Amino acid sequence: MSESTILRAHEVSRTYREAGNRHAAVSQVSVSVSAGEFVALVGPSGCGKSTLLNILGGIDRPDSGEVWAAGTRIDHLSETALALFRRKHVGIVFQFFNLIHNLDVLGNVELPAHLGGESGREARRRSLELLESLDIGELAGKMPSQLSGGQRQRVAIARALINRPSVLLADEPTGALDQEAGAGVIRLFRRLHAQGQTIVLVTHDPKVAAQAERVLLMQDGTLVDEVHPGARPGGRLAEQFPPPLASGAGAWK
Amino acid sequence: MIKEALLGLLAVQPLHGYDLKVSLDRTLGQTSKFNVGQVYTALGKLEKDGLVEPEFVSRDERSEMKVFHLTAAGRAELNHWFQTPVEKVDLRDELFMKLTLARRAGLADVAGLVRTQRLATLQSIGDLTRLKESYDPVQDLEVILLIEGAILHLEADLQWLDLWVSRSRQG
Repeated sequence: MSESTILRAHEVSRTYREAGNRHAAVSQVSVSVSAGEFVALVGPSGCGKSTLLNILGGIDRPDSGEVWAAGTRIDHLSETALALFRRKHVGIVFQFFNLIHNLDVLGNVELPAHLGGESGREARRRSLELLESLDIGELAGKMPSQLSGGQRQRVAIARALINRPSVLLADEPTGALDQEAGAGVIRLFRRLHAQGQTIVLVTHDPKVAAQAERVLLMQDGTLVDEVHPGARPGGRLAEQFPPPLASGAGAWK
Repeated sequence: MIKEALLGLLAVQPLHGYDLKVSLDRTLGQTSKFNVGQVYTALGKLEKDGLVEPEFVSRDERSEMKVFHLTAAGRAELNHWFQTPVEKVDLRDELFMKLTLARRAGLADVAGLVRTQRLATLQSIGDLTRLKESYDPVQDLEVILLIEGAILHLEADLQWLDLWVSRSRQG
């Protein structure tokens, strides 16, 4: 494992029982993610991408293979040890936000910090600071039911980041949002990535996947290909479009 | 389409031939790629049909240039075009040709071909998504919409490629 590797799965498989039949959700997958990388797992529904994400984040365990995260082998940890590991190293964002309805925004964000044993005052200070840095400071006193989908997802992202996780995992984070709100959430991911946050995101939407640095294509439980969308900015395609007006080559003089 | 493009540009402001060519490229890009010769030929035809009219404007003390503007007939022609919906079902598709012939001739593996194409399409979606960011959302609105349209077409291509795989399996 290279020094900068933060997540690594080695030949992991996961099989589910479905109506008596064994169904391999993930089979013999090896993958590693470097610190600071922004990786997207993309593929049709049922291809095993969410299962793989859950295995990488210690939410699910493989039937075979090894999973290493932040220098620790996590696939054979006890439930308690795994829960502690996740709290410290893994931030998770879901499609349907999973906010706690009877806690306000601040309460939702500071909860993982409390669980991590931080003092109330410190947790509150850091939560407010984090909300500010994500441009949602004004939402601190609101209840989740008062927020739009895009705002809820931003709050969920804040909650996932409060314990400064080594990796931020996101499972279809734009799946329940309209196009504009989804684009806003993805811009936020790119900003966090630019600040050094490691991100692994699962999506079925190629537009969302294309925002990542590295895109892994999954099919029938295996990784079949890899694309680097940022490697060719504009490239050949740029010439086919009129230049930006501000470039001085504008249409009307 | 060159006729309508020129009429449309002249409806914005009168221009001389070369400026028309430059405006075509800068406003419409590859959506209407014509060379200077084609522009002058089309202008000549528009003038003959009475849709545009030249006017000689002095460029400097010694030379003048021919600036074209729309006539009433030209404006009517353009309005008619605006009011007619675009009929667009483009069946000339190289990918379709490739997949069909690969399948029939048994010369190339459809699954492999689909895979290569899917990667290239994803790469293009990534490129275009980043290219979009170099434009100003207000000033360059039309180009941004053009790019977003291209992305939507590529997404449709991805879904279509999936259909080739799933239907080929069934058959």
